Amino acid sequence: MRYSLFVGCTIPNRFPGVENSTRVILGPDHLGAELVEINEFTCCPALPTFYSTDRVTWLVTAARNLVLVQDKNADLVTMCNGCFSSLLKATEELENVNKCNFVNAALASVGKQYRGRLVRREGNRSIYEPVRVRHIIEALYTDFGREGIADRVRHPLSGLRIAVHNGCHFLRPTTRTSVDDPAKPVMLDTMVEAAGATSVDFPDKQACCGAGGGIRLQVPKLANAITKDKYECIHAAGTDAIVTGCPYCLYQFDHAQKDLKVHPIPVLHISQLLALAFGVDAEHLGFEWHFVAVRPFLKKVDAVGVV
Amino acid sequence: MADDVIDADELDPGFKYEISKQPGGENLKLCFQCGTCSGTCPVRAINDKYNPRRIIRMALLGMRKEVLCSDFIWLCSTCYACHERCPQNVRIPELMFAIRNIALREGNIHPVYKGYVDALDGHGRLLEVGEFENEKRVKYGLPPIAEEKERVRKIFHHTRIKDRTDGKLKGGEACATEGSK
Amino acid sequence: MSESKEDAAVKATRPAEGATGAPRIGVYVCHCGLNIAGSVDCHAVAEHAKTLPNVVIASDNRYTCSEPGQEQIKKEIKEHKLTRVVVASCTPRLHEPTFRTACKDAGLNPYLFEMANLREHCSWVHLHDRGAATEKAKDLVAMAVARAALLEPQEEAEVPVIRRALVIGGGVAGIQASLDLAQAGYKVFLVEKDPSIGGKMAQIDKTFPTMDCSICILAPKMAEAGRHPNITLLAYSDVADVKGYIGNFKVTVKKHPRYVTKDCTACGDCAKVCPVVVPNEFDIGLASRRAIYSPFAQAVPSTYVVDIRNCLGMNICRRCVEKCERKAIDFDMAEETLELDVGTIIVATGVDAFDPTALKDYAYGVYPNVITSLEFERLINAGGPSGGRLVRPSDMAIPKEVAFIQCVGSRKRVNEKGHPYCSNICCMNTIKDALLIKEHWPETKITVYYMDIRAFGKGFEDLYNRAKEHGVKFIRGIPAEIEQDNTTMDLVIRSEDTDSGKMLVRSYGMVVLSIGIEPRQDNEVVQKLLTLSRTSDGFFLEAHPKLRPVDAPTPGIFLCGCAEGPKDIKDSVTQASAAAARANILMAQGKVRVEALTPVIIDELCKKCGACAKVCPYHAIEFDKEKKEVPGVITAACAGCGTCGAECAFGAISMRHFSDETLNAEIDAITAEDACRKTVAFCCNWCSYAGADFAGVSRMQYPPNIRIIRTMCSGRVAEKMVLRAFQRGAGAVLVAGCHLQDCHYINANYQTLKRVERLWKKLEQKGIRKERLQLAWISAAEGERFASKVKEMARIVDTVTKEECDKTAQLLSKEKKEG
Repeated sequence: MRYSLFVGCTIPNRFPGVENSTRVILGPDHLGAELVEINEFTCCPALPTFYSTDRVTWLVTAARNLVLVQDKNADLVTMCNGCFSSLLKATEELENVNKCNFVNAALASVGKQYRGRLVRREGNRSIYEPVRVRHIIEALYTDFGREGIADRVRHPLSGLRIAVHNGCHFLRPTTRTSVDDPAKPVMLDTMVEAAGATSVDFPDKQACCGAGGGIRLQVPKLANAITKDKYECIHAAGTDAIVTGCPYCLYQFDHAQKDLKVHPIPVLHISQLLALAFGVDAEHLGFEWHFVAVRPFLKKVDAVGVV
Repeated sequence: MADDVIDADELDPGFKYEISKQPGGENLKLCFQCGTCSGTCPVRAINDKYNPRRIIRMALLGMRKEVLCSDFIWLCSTCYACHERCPQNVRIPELMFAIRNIALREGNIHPVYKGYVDALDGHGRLLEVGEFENEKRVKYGLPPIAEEKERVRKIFHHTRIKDRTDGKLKGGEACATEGSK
Repeated sequence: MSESKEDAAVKATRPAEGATGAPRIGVYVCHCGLNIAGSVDCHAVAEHAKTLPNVVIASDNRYTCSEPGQEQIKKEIKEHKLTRVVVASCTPRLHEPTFRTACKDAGLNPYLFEMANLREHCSWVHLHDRGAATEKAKDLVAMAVARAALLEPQEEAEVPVIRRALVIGGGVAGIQASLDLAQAGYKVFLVEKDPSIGGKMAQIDKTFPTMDCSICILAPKMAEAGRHPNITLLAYSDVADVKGYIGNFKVTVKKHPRYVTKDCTACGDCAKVCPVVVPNEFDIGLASRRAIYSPFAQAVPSTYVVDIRNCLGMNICRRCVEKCERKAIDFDMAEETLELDVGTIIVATGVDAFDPTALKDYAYGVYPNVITSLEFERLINAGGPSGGRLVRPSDMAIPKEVAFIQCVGSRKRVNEKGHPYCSNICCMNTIKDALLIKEHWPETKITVYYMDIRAFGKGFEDLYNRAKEHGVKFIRGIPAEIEQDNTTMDLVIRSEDTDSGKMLVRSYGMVVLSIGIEPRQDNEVVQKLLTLSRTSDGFFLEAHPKLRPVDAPTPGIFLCGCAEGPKDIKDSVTQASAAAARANILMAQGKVRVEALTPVIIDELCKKCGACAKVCPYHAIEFDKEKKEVPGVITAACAGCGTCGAECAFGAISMRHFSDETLNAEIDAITAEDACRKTVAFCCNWCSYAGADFAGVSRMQYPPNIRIIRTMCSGRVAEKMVLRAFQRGAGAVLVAGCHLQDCHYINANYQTLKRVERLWKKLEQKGIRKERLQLAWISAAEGERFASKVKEMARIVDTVTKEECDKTAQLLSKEKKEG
């Protein structure tokens, strides 16, 4: 498993702990995946911004990111729903030859050409397929599976009740390549359960957090109001922590709870949760960057005891 | 809004065809106002100003100015729940983007998006990862991130996106008063 | 132009022109008031006609179809001993029968008559260019004259019709059709695949708008059908094979063994002792039955039946055999095969209900209190599993609030959510259901979530108003999803009331999904057996949506009930009687005439390859691969499309009335002069020619350089005809037919597609621009499409130079000589 981690914008700026968690759990001490470093990635770029303004720029900028990976014989793995959605959509659009040519004409200005990744040669013909864009949830589920993750758990989070929030852009729209069943997704819940915790059922489980599409920045009150509805369902179900696969959803839940002044439920990224379950020391996981204090949850984790 | 009377003379029957020609807006005319989208929209549940079904109805009627100059077209959270449930495959989030593109041409853009594009132009990312951030990264044992703003700027220059967001595009009358919140 | 071997052979088979020698053609150019004369110089056209070969008399007059007009023709046939008549007026689709009759009255074989379409295809579409319109009219007359000279007298074949009918399907439509025909005196075989007749109507509780008890009104009809001396009821049977043609069908029916003989009195003792319990299909799984059972109380035949798949078998259990006092249970029964000879077939196979399990948002099958409207019928029916008490599956309590969601599985463009069409009955069914609930439990709060309420029939609006008066709430807004309260098992629906724009959140004890109806899964099997067509929705296609709504395109077969499309009981019964009446017409005469458009196989040229038999959509050509004899044409089964004629590579098939010679003569007439500036078009009678007519009727204007040759089907157009047109210098060629799923001759146009694709390859190989050959699917309603196509072709022709045309002609002539 060769992965190239795509960090995006929100993680390095706001939650570097998420990136660190991901590196650690994928690293040689735990799951042992091979990480290919690319530090010239830029913004994915964010779909709502560019679809509202200029699609061509979006596709060219996304293509540039894909070009950086195409010859590295690695999968591009994101830790953010937005990046996942944007880059995956770009690989699909670039399958159209005309669009691809157009994009390459623009990429020439930065000395790049998108071809896709080389899969095989037939005579003197090279066969390319689109760059593989994956989300960390799906990569963990497919490449390691419940058993693979459970194997590495040193500190099972038994008895801890987790509210799983898949977010919107991991599951939808299903007209692009669908990864998990949008009506009844299982991947993230399985990862949480592999860590030993209980994935809590609550109404409106697939609802939006409210931050996306630019709403958080335009009308934060509206975003918070949407989050509040979901928060109430989560709270009523009796939850120790909210786990998500998207730093923007993380940010939204984190901030909204502060703004709404509700009983705080800590919010974690799946990488951070798994890192805890693998026995990694919490101080490496960047929890000080979270708004809602994660300490109460860490106490509960400690109380479970070590294997 | 409920008390307003629609002046039939001001309706633009060509508006729906204009939207249909934008990428993403192709299926606008298939909407038969069943209300499934508005029933499931998380934004509409909080604020009935953002009502996707009503926006589509206004677009189909031809209420061009009301649609393009209002702020509700900028409030779609792109959760895609309506997209999954629409029985007519109208593809509503894509439609909202298409309408925004037209609004942009007329000079109406929410300042947030302009800010985003400027940020990307300035840092190569939406949020700056400069020296300060890189120092923190090194402390964690994370490799530093290069600021690729030059490369991104070159692409932006080539595609002339800032002409759009800075309102330099030709044609169309800018929205008179409101603009955006 | 040298004569090919084929041309010579065909000529040899044509009878000599008789004592008179060359044909004597009379040409009549009609003014049609100002309809034609307004843009065409009819007198000039008539004068020009006089100069054409074989024309002995030509005149122009105001209204040729009028009495005096027809009299003139009849007079002149006798006076001038005319052997062919050409009328240049409106579209043959309008007046060909009129003039054919006139010729017949004057003693001239009606197949020696030809028309030139100067109105829909000329004067009406070239209103502003008199010169060009007149030139085109002259051309069209020349085409008709050239063709008329080569027409042959034809006799229509008469085929006997057996006076027995087969009805497939024992729902209310099948029952009605059977009774009508039986009462008219015909023997009827009624085949039903389930153990009892009755269909979906037997499962319904009450019918709208009268609120009659459904089984009460159906049971007497079922009983009558079961005992009528003229009806042979074959229940628990399938149609396995159908051979033959109109008036003479050979049907193979497989009768599955019931394992219970006619001695059964339906006492039910056997079922009481049977140990096997399985879900009951009639109650949609809401109740159970035994392995030996009667489907429902009023079943006809009433004989019990053993569900052999679930029965434990004689080796393990013999309880029913031992219990039966009449010794009516016989496990040695075997499947029976019956061969039936019938003259007509009526298809009344009905529909299935839509299964909403796939609609995850509605959680049918997951939340126990979400049910379908069919399950509702069984629950509220006094004879049903709950004795008529509308109970919630989760706790058997009677719900205080009930919601109905409309259009489930209907009016959905997204495939996974259902079908695109409206299922016709669901609106009224829900209104009726709501009133039923109110009748028994008036305090119940009922809400109907809808998009449109379609209350279009007699008494429907009244019923709708009654429901509203009883307090049933109608909310315009389809819910996106249903949620469940896991403690109360109540269901919560959140929806927008689009009329007010406000959100509505309500809790219900039970939600009824108003499901649509869909074509049966085995429609494809029936389609293949009977050579029927289906619409894109999967229902059987009628011959003409307005004028022949119960005729199938295949002659001798009729459709009725929901098999043809979603409809309520009244319309099903109406159609059933209509189908019976149509079948009656055929059978009453005892014989039927077949239009003389059928093929003649020329034995000496036939190479016995069987290609013709393969392409016939009606299986009207019999060819034995083993025996390798000259194939035989079943004239009665043939519909006259001509696809076989075009397929034969050896010129061994001559199509009556649309022979190669006549079509070639038209091509030659068009390309005699100025070929390079013309588009030669082949249009099929039923769709594209009609579409061109429609363009004319709508006065759509297009360039005058197109000349249309009419064939019955686009499948008649052979590759060599298209090449002939190019070889004679044509600028462009258009081949037009029905849309691929809608071919009037079932699927002949797929052959057209294949041939044109082969032609494109050939043209490309020869360096001829392939865009000069166009293929278009244009329906009778698509006048606009036709006009656009003509304009497109004119633009293409504009880019073709004389040199290019000459070069093409040369290239193709060379091949002809070599080949």
